[in-house]
Amino acid sequence: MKSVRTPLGKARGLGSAKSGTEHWFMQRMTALALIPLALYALMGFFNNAMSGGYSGAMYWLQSPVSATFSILLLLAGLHHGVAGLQVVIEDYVHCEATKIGSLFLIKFIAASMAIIGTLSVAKIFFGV
Amino acid sequence: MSSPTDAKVRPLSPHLQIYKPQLTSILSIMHRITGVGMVLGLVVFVWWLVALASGPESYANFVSCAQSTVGQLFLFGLTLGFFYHLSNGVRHLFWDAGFGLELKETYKTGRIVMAATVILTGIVWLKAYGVVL
Repeated sequence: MKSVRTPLGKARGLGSAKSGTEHWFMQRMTALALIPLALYALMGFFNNAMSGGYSGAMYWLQSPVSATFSILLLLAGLHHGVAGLQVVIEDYVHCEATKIGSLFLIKFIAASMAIIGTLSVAKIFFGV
Repeated sequence: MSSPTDAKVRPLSPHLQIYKPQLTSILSIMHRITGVGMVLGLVVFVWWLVALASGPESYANFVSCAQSTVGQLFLFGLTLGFFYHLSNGVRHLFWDAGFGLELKETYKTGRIVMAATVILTGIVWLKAYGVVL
């Protein structure tokens, strides 16, 4: 059958969905970023919060590096988590309304968590 | 000619109930389960940040929850899930790069992942209770 696609469309090779690899690619990129970020947070938690309690934890998050990496951990973690949960929902939820509702819900919760967490780190960092 | 209303028995793919569990398939579903568990870990992380930002009293409240028996069991499970998802995630990244896809290698790396999970979780909890380091 003769193709009706334009030469530009063929060159881009994206098909009618216009996308497809971003979800997969970002899941891998965030996975890579999460390895050092998660281990850094775990070490920081151990060396400051476990032994130092409230003041130790505050001291740790008031360092610019720890505050930045904590926010990055939260954002990369939520992006990776939403990417994963989306696949799980798409695999197991077959009722279209429930599926779209669940996808909306996890993204709304993740966005809220991102803002709440970032504001908390900012509050600790600036000591207000 | 067959009509769409013909009740034909179509072949089905093997059901999970009669599918023999293998190390590779068990580790695969564990990656998904621990991944969902890590989202709960992020909820705990945000809870910790909010408690810390809200002052010493709310932080003390968080600590007493975390130090309760249920809290400790939950955190131990999170640690196991974390190191499993981390180790097996690295295994996945190697697969994505085209390494370790032979059947024998997947079994070998699967066993490495299980050993790493147990060892790293053990180190963290022995350290947490002041037994080592």
